[in-house]
Amino acid sequence: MCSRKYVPSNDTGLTRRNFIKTTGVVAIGTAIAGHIPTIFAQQKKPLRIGASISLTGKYARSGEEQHKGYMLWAKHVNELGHSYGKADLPNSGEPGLLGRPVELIVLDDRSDPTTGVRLYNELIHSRQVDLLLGPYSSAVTNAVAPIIENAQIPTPNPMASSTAIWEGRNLQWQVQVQPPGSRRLPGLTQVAMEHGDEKIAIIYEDSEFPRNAAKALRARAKEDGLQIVLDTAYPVKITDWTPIVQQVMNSGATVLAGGGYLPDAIGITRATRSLGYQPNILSLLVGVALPDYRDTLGKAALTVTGDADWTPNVNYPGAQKYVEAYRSEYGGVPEYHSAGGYGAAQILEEAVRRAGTVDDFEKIRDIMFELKTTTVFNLYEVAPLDSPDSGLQLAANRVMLQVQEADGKLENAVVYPDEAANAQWIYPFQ
Amino acid sequence: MDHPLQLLANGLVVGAIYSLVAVGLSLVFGVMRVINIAHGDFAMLGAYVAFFAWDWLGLSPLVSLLPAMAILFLFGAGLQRLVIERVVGRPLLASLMLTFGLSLIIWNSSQVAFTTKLRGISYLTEPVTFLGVTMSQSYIVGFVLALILTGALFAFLKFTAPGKAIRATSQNQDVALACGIDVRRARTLAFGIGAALAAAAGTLISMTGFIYPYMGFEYLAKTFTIVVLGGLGSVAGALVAAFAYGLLESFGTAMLSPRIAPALPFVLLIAIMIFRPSGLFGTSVADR
Amino acid sequence: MSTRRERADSSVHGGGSSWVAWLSWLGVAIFAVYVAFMLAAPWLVNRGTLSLLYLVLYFVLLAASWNLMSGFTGYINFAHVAFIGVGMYASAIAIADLGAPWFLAVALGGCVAAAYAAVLSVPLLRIKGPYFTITTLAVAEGTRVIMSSAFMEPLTRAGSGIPLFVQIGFETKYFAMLALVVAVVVVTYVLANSRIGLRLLSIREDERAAENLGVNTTRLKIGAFVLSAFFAGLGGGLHAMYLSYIDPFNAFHIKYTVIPIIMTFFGGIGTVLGPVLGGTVLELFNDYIWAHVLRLNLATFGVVLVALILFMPQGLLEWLKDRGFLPKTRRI
Repeated sequence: MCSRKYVPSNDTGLTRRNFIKTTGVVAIGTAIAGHIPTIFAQQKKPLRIGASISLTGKYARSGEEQHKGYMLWAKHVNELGHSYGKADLPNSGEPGLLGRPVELIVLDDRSDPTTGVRLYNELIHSRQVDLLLGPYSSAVTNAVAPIIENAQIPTPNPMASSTAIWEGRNLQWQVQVQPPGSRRLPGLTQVAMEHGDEKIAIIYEDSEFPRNAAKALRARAKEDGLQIVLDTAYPVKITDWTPIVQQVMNSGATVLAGGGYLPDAIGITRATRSLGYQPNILSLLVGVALPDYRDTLGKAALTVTGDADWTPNVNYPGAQKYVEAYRSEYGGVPEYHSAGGYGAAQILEEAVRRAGTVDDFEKIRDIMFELKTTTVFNLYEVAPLDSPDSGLQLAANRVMLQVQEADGKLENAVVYPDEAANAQWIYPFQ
Repeated sequence: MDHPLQLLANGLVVGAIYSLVAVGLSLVFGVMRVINIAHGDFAMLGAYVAFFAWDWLGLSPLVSLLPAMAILFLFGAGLQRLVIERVVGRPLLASLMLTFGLSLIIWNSSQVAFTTKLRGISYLTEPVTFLGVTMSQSYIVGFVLALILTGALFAFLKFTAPGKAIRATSQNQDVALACGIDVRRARTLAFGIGAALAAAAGTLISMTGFIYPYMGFEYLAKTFTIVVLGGLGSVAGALVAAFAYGLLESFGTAMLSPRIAPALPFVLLIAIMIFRPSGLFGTSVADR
Repeated sequence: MSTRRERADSSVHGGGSSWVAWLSWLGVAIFAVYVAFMLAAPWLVNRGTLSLLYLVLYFVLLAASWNLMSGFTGYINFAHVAFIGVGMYASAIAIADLGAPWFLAVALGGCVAAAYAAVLSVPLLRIKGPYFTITTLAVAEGTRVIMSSAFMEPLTRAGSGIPLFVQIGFETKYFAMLALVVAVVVVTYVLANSRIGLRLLSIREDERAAENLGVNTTRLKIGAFVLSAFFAGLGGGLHAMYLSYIDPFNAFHIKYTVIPIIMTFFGGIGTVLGPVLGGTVLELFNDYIWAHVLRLNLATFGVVLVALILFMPQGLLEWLKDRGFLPKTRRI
């Protein structure tokens, strides 16, 4: 019942349920089916694409958006024969992927790596899906990586920014689609330098992705001659950021950067405002790009900067049509997790189309690793198969956003890099 | 250590919000010998009442505080009557499992009903400075409200007949029963009050922080630690321990490191348990 | 209270008449069939289902190891995940940094967890009732924070977590988990039928009276606590290889304390087969609802849990025994 929440009301397609009796020990089954127009339900065997996503638990908020991206992609492929911006590829025209209707099988891993491993085993061996898409979060992706390597199924991972998953591991079957965590908060140190800031404080949640981001930020700050006056992790599950921001304030830093996920961004901003702390730059990971941030904080969000893998006003091919499609399907403006889901599925789509087969995994894999392309989400190019970091994302980039006021409404303006910017970076933070 | 006054103020404000959750939990334990894992979820529900009152009706959280408390009072009392009353007198584990089950039901349904979107109320966010201490108005209002509400609870317990009934039930249920006190009613009332106070805390959190369906669980270990530190069943103990917890977080972060500060209350708890195995203000319940 | 006492009476004196004594081998037979099926499973089911059976065994191990301490003594321990997590870390560090073979790493996980429990047991086991329960909850949370502290970072890599690659097949991990389950059940069985087991039960029923009768309760409690932690650590150490990546948040997640307790409670606390039964049934059920009720799977689990506490408060095994489906004996 709830699984059909996002299936639109004008849906004439089948909602396909699969009950697979494995041994009679236990029946495990059903999934959210993709959106399959009836025309080919009788004709061709559906192409079943499996993924586990965090729909409950810690990552539920972002996992849900990624799921929407997957579903929109399946819908477009089934209706148009291609996703937005991918009309010109070989083997298009017929609805579906190589003429076969796409059926998504999405399961909930409860934000838990243990469940994630179980689910990919389930998808691969019990459900026997034809192809895979990646889960949400670095933690789950890290845990399921060996399963996918063993099964030898080419898989794009939309939302795993941690570089440690790929670095030095020579993964053969999985590619990173999201810009790596090392390229977080672009332009921050340059802008700080240009305005004569000297002291930076870096605070970050003590988990893989924020640490990864902080490491790169630390290096860039040193390179640009900023003095790091406070550099500390704080444990997960914090509910009050006031004591830490107080520490930053006492350190005399004029630039505060870091955070973790959305809760951290909101919590740090609240604490900064409450303490009346006035750094010149307040720059936070992940959260600023998401609509929840502005909705929760209102004007307290003004002039805070943060990075985004993607914004709704990018001009990658098909991106604007994607924004429109999202709006009419789910309402509201999409943010980057959904675009990332859509974009990762597009990488799979392009590799399959170019290979002209869904069965020759090696051929699909080789194309996936060699591909240099653009999705609605970002640029795409990964480290080649024979390199130690094979599969690591090389081309995708980020922009810096700032919450600004336009016509009495809060909006995210792109302020860095210059070629993508649509507004001036308001300095200092107000 | 810089700005000791500011650190003190930060600690007290957070402590006040913790105290609203912890006092109710301790009260409930006192009269029922039940550790309510779903207590944090009451705070979550209260927070959503306040949020929707603000979002749809434009009500200030200071106004919607009362309906939020009233709704959660009824919800809590109803839940107690229908379900939790049945495990009174059963072993500790039964009530733990039962309230864990209730917690799963409440937050998972809330996630479907309210979505996973993070929300919050921007209200009185401007900071003010006093005696070198800077703090946003919402924090100060939250602090004052929390004090008023706990004060009201103490007055209620001390001076009113139903309040005295609750205290009597907490001290010795059998004697209370023999004295003609309706202990069942006292339990329902205490549970409702606990839920209402949690709702008040939730409302304040929606103003000073942010809310989401899972939030009740995040406060769990914290509130439990506070309640045990103060002594299970001791309302005054919970109040003192809540402030101690807030101050420990605030000063611990400044004097040690943000990475180790969150462990301090747990270390303190273990230390205190060695010397006073029934908490700061507690009477021994182990043998009941 | 009275139900608890009755239950103890029945379990202490139940083996009296001879035909019941004979029937009590039923428990052994049931477990033998269970193990035989699990042994044959890799040839009967596909890898997807096998990964489910692996998780069933993992949870049975966690439940049975928790039962060793809390089921017998009545001390409701909420620090179980601390021992699981410490076992995971010890094993992961041994593999990733020292290149230890996997079975040594698992053994190390058990030993480190047992040592940790031994250290903690001195202050912890003085505390009683709900104070004990909540203090152990604080121990679990505190352990998580300390494992990610700057002081421990050189060893644990804090929040970055430890990736580890073990070149052993899934079936090996599965059989190893099965072996651990058999070991913990055998230990429980031996304990339940020994004088030590009786003494432990006497702590649950009335600790002060037991002391007065000359039972050295402190030594017994510490022993049970350390044994319980040892098996939890072994389980965690092995499970780290299933995960191939561990971090403090997931390694010390409270649900790995709570779910085994629910399973034990469902099957029957302080019984030999209760955790096996509870763990198996609930994990299969859990898996089933998660696949069928996508967004409300946890609420569904909650409803079942509430119904269970209200309508089957003494657990499945005792329920069966009360209705005469199983003999009243401590051997099951």
